[in-house]
Amino acid sequence: MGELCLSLHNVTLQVDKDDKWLWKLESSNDFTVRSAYKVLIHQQHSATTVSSKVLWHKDIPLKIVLFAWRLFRDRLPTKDNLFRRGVISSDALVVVVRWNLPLIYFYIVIFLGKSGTLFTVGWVSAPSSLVCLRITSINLVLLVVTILRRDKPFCN
Amino acid sequence: MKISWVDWNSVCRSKEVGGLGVRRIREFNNALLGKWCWRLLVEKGSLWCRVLSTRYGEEGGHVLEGGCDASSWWRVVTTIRREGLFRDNVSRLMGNGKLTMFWSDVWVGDKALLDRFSRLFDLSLRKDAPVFEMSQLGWGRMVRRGSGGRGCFCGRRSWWGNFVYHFIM
Repeated sequence: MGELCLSLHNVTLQVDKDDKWLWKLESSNDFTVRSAYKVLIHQQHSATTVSSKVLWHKDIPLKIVLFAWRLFRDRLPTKDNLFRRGVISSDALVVVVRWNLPLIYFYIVIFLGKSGTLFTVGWVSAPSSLVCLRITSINLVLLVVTILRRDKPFCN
Repeated sequence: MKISWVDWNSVCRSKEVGGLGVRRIREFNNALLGKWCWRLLVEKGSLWCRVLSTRYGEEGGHVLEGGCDASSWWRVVTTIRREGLFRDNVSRLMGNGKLTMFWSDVWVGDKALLDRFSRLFDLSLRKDAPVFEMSQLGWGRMVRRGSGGRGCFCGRRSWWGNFVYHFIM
C-alpha cells in the first residue's frame, strides 16, 4: 500500500485536458509507420545476421547451405509446417506428441577440415511448441552434421 | 553480359544510406499493423472499435483477444499489441484522468498497477474505475499539500484513509 502511495505521489491531474497517448519514437508523439518499421528493421538485423553470414560460405557445398538455410528459417516441410499449410491433417501430428521432450536448443558446430577451426553455424531453436517438429529437427540437425562430416574437408 | 549481384541487405537498406530502398515485407507489414494498434488506442469509441469490442468483449477498457476463432487480422493485431515494440514505445500523458483506467492501463511507471499490486487489485471493489474517480477519493488533496510519500499515512481524511475505505466498502 505504501509503495502504491509512493508511486502515485508524483502524479498531478490536469482538469482541463484529456488523457493522451504518446508514441515515443516520433517527436510529434504521433504514430508513424516509418518509425515503427525502422525499429523493426534494427531488431531483425541483430537477430539473423550471425548465422547467415557464416552459413553462406563458398566452401560449403550449396545443397548443404540451402538445406541448413531452410532449417534455420523453419521452411523445411516438417510435419508442423505441412499441418500449418493444410497439407496434412492434425491426426498425422498426434502420433508423435507422446514424446514429451523438453524444449531444446540445437547447436550446430562444424569442424572445418585441416585447419581444425571450430565453425559455428548458429542456433536453431524449436520454433513451435509442437513436439513432432522438435523431433524432426533433431533428425535434421544430425543429418546436416553427418553430411558435413562426411564431405571432404574444406579449407578455410 | 555480366550480372552484378547485390547483397539482399543492401537491396533492403534505405536509399538515404545507399541501398535500393526495397522494404522488408514482414517488418513493413508489422509496422502497418502497428498503426491499427495505435488507432485502437486513439480512436477508442469510434464505430470500428465498438464493433470489435462487441465481437470480442472488453475488459478494463481493452478489447479482448478472442482466442483462436478470432479473425486472423485481429489475431495478428493483438499479437503486436502485446509485443515489446508497441508496449515499450507507447506511453500515457495524463490529463484529467477520465479516460485512463486506474488498474489496467499503464499510466504510472512501466507496468499496469494491477500487475504491480495484484493483491490490492484483488481487494479493490472498483476494478474498472478510471484514474479520475480514484483521485476523487482524496489523493488530489494529497498532491496539492505537497506531502511526501509518507504524508498520505497521516491526516484524518487523507487519501490513504479513503482509499482503504474504498477497499472495505
